[in-house]
Amino acid sequence: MRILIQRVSSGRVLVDGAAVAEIGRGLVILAGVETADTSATIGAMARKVTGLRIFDDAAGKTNLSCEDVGGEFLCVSQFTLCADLSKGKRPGFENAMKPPRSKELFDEFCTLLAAATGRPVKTGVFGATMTVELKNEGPATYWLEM
Amino acid sequence: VKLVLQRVSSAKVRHQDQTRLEIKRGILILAGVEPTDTCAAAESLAKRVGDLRLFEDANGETTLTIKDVKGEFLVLPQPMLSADLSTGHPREVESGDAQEIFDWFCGALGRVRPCKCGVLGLPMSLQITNEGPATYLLET
Repeated sequence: MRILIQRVSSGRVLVDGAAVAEIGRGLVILAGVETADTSATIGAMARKVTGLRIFDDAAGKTNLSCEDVGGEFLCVSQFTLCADLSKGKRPGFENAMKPPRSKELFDEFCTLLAAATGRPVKTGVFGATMTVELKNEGPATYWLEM
Repeated sequence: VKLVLQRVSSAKVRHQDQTRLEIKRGILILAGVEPTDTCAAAESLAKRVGDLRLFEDANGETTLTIKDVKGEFLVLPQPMLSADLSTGHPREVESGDAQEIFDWFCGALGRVRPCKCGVLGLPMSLQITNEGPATYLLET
């Protein structure tokens, strides 16, 4: 699984120009499920994200988790993260898991994140063409693989 | 160098409530320089980005490069991309040559298409409209 985390002051997903999901302060997570992933991988990644302390405390140090600051999560499936760009000029998607299994594991990730943090987890529309708008503050961007 | 590429219809960088950098259609790049990186590696990576077919043609197939669509680059340093996240508390990797390598990378991109570059160490708010969405990870 490959995910990209952006720390935002706001984020939203639009489909055909209409907002389908929206958060204020929190994390926008783009997630790509890979062919080798299992429920164990997904669980480990959810725990990893839950434990990340990437928000500023009163002293300006990044000591606080999303849960600590009362933040929200916006998770968007993003199979292009699994692309192999090391060769050729068009991305290869051999490592990306195909639906419906990829959707099952993505949903599992969102459920685990919500359960572990007690914070809202909003999502885009799996597989749809979407516009993701966000304000990345810092910027602060983290790339995780598992 | 670790790169995050986001295909955008617009992106802008604000600092102290003022817009400092702005592009329309193009690629927003967040770049994290790592200790083993060299200017030569950064330059070849920039060329590679210029050749990637990430934009859609009239049939909705991603066959077009940033040169084909006459897009622009917006590049920001993002040392956190090289962060060690094993403890849950990110620690940035120190790299004395990070600025030089970042500048070299931006220069090489600028020879492909117009390129606007952010500054290391300045707090910024980055507003992105990612279309697709289409986000790619790439490293040297």
